[in-house]
Amino acid sequence: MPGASPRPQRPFVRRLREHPLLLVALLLQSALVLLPLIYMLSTSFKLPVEVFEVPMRWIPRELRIENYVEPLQQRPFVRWFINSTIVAVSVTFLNLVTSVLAGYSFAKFSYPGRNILFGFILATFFIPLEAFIVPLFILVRDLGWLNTYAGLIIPAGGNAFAIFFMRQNIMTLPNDLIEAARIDGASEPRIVLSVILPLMRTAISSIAIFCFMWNWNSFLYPLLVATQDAYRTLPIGLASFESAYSTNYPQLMAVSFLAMLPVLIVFFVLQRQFIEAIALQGVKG
Amino acid sequence: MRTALHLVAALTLALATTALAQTTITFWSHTHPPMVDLNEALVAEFMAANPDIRVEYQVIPNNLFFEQMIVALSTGTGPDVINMGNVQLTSDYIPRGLVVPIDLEASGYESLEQLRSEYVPAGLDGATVDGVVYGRPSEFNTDMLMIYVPDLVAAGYPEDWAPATWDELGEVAGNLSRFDEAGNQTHRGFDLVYLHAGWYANQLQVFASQTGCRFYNEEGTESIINSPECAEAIRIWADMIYEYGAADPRLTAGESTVPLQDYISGTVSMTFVQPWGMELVREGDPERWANTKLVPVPQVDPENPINRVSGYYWAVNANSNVQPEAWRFIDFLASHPGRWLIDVNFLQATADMDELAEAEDFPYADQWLTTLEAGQFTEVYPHANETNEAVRAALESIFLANADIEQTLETLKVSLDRVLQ
Amino acid sequence: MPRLRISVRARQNAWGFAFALPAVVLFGVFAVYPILRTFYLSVHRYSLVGTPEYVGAANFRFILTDPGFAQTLRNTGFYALGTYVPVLALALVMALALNTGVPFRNVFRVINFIPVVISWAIVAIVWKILFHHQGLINQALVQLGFERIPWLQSTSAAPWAVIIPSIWKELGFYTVIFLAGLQTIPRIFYEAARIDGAGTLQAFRFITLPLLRPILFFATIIAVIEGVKVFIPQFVMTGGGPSGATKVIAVSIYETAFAFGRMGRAAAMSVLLFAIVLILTLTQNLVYGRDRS
Repeated sequence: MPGASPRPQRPFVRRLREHPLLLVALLLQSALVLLPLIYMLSTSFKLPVEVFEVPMRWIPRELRIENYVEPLQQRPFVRWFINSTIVAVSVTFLNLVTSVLAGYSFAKFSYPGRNILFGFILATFFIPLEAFIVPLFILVRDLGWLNTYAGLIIPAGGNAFAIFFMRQNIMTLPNDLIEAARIDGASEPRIVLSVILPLMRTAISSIAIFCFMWNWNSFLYPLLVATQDAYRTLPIGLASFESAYSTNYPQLMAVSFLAMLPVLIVFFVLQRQFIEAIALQGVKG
Repeated sequence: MRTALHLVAALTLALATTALAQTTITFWSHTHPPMVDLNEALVAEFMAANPDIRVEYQVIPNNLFFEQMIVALSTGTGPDVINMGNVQLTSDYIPRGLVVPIDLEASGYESLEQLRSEYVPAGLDGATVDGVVYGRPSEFNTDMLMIYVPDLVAAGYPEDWAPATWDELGEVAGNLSRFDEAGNQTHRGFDLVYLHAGWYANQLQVFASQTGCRFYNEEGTESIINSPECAEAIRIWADMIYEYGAADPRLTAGESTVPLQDYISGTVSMTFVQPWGMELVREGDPERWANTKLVPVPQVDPENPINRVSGYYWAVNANSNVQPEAWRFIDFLASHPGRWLIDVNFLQATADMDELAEAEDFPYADQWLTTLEAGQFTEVYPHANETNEAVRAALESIFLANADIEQTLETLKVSLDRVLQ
Repeated sequence: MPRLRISVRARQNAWGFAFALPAVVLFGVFAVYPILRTFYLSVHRYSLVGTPEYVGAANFRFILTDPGFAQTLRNTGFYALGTYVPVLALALVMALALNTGVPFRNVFRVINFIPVVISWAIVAIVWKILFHHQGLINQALVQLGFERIPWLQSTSAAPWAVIIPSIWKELGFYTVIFLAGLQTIPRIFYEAARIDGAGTLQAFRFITLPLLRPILFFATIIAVIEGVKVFIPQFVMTGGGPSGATKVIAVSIYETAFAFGRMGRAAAMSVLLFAIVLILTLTQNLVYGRDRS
């Protein structure tokens, strides 16, 4: 009887009915993923002696805020945080500038040697930093850039993946758009600013997020280039705090949680863009 | 792009120019909380007395200490003043020309003899190569056995028990160990510290100096660590684990800032202690310290006791352009042996150590001085970091996986021969 | 007229080259030069002090006859496979699960992605405490009637103690990549298959897998490179120990260069690492290329 279909279920309830087991499995899996982070938060408010209590007490007896305050007084975490921000923002900016320009160049121009240059840059993507860190370190030393912002930022200014990614994206732009701008008398730099940039907004934000995340967490390179407290970045500072004050687990958890917070906030605010950025890399790459 | 570069250049310039305003001495040390406190206090006093000099003091985490220091000095980016162990100093830093001979004039001495007379006879030996002195001692170390007396009494031993030999120690220590229902060890009667490579080599030297084990031959042409003497030295340690069931490296806290953490938290009844360690125990748990006693380290041959000595020295970077000021600063640090003794429990090997007013309050002062005076510096070998790393890997395979000692030492000998290449 | 056109084209190309210049200079100085220099150093003896001394193939001979380095290679392979085989498999399962109409799937996707954005320095600190002798994981094992495992102190357990957090951290990244790939597959393919009477497994085998192949290829390449060059997990969790059980190539390069001052030997190891990545990438390319044709 066509007219007498049952009252339509709300889509959410219908979806729930369709996948009850999957939902339970995913809930368990998510709990497993979150467990270390909840453990971290819980431990960060405890006394050192309460850390390994059996059974584990997820809600601490009392919230010891001191665990969060004391480490900040002992070590220059604020400075490390500022350093990380300066370095990650500058490197991301440089990455964007170089990758938009080079991506455009490799996608839409045909000067001699173009493919060779692109090939060289692309090839470095497959060579891990770890394989040439020794001469890179010596070079940065010879430039007098150890323990400087220049040393932390400039050598990381080019990102092979970002260039490749921008090239792939710009290639999809119709040539007519660029030619039309040229006929209108726009200079080449003008075209970059008023044609390429606006059309590449999604790709640029995707690269920005990716580069920022990479650089914020970068470890080996800053470990070698910044040996002085004043130039350390947060991950290096944290690792040094860990090896120097490692018995006080609650304090360690507290500073780790604090260090994690800014990225986590940025992530939650921009989570859609974050995830789409990564997804786009996969599909386009 | 261009603006970014300008910005970076301007920033670098700004940071560089502020540093030129006055003489700045940079000073790095490893992380030992009581020492860090006193260093900070002395730095403040030095700056108050010398307003034209600024001292920037930085602490390096212990597990990165040896590599960060050598890389920094090798690349000309190191601090002006370093504080370094005698083995590393004499095996790597001095031969590579990374540190300079002592500047007597800037240090306020007329002659080397005058400086020497301020220390016990062997005082400067840990920083001397071919008769040239490169540093001044910040701490002189030797070992004693630290015992938590209530554990001893609870197991039915007299309070004044002290082992003469390693076997005596092992047997009692085995009886102090405790296990849970499943047979897992929960408490260790005697154990050592299992940390970075420097620690493994350092502790092995306690046994090695007694059995006559050397890592390399006198000429430094090949390793002789496959000798029966070295096997014996390692067996003393391994027996604590496998023979007596006293030790278990898998249970260690692996704490590099407070190496005596296991003793402080009560999971170990006996362990080695050096002078600086007493302050750590007292800070960590005053009550445990009150029930602790120190006795001489057991001996292979109790008739002819042998104690090894090691030390840390202040030295000046060869790339420093404030060397006279650096030596003046070191002299200031070195001119407070009483405070080092009381605040940090560092023995600075000064000749008048026993006459210092503070020595009266220094725990076990007599015993420390007796062991120290009879002590000798252990073998100095090349490529200390590399050697120690190879030794650690070998010791770990013996202590964690019960590898055969003689066989492991044969492999280790090959590795150490390769270190010399 | 033709002359003018040539000059316009030339001028455009000059701009095009100028646009590439910042990247070319940065890559030339900070990547290509150090890479070439690695090859140069690999046949020299150099300790950061003084000048490099030519030693021929001595560094390579040393490394290739070093039992420690052989173990390092095995450790690296073990880590790469132990981490990324489960990661890729689980990520595919997760992506399939999230590609259904299951409620809260966006929440699950976000939760799974959280570990990706946390820096390894923090991940290592948390997991070291979780793996502590009296830590949460051992407490759980005891509850379940097992013995405690000395995770970070035993040569057999330590490799797993590094792999487990790695899986935890990497899973979300690959899930998102696979999910994006799945979402590019038109629903109509599945509907057509259902009408033809194909089951879920058959649809997976004949629609999902073939269409996902480019993404799988991309993900495997990234995973292989990440696995072979791994450094931070071992460096911050175990320092390569105990007894070298978790010493991977990059940790060995770092240690040889910076703790031992053997720049030449470290450069030779780097050349080998470079060769390994090259061979693996080419092999994958070959396999993928053949499959596609």
